Amino acid sequence: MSYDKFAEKQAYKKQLKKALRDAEFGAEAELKMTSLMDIFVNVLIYLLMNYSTSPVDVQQNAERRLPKSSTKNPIKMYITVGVTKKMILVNKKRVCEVQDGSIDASYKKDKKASSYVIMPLFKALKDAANKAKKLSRRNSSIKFKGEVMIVADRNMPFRLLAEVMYTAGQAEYGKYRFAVVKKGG
Amino acid sequence: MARKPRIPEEVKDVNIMPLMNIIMLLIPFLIMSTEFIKIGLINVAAPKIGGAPSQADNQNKPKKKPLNLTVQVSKKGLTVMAYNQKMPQGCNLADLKNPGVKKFPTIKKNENNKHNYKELTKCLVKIKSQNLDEARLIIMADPEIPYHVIIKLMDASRESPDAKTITKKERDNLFPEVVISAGVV
Repeated sequence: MSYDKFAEKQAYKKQLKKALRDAEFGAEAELKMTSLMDIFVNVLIYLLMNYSTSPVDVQQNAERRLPKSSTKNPIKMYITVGVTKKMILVNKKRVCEVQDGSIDASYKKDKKASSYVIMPLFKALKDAANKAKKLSRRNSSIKFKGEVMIVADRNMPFRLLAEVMYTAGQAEYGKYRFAVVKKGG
Repeated sequence: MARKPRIPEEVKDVNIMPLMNIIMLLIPFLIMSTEFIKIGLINVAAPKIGGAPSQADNQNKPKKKPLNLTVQVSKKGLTVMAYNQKMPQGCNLADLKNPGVKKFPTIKKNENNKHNYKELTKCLVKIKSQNLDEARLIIMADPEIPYHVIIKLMDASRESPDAKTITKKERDNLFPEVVISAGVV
């Protein structure tokens, strides 16, 4: 018998024994997970890095694109007034609608189009100010500073910006912080 | 003769190694191509509606005339005002006292119909060299001027490498304190 045929016969016998053993005891399925674990580690690292870049998540979308600026100030947590192409939000809750970059007179003080006070925004900010003052009365380490972060679309007209700022000022939020995208290195 | 035992068919594992290879190549590529957006803040003071700006800062120096440096943004260009007077083209403080024909706006838009922020920075450096203590800038704009123009204006007026030699400061060496004014002067 040649060596090849002998080896073939041995291999066949070995295979036969294993097959019989598996048929009796049940085959053991092995799942190779090394590559899968590599992917999971990669994705985990990506998510961790993304999570640590900023404490506030401001999504850029078609409704609102932040303007770019060379400012170096880092972001902090403040009450947010968001202005998109379609609405005004306070802490991500809608308070008012925006039509063609301006506010309808029905939302303004005394229903006058020339007024700078936007009533729903004023009410929402006033409520927030009262809550913050109550908190500071109970806990002396928290002080009401009157700081508000304005997160607005880059194409918002100046008039709307002035109205939002004036309304916030009337609600005792006189310290403004504009949220922008840091440009350059 | 004993029956030849039938070898149960071996279940072959699906070889997913090539697929994993592709995924392992794609994931780092996608991660590298994502933009990590960093959000920054710009601090701004309260807007004033109508009338001349306040003179509260000059209580300590009643004899010195307040600079009231203002930049007005219109569709035609940027107009710089100092001592409540519009500065004509050329941006010389001395021109304020000269009678004669004066051309406005101080800084016209350039050929691409965009505001010339570099000229504005040069102009502000000239003014800063004569008013080292002054850090306040008032911004006024026509109602339809978009928000990103105001942000770029703030960037152009906050600091300049040319002002480093004048003020000995590297950052915030021009007019970092910005006040938004919605009135008409």
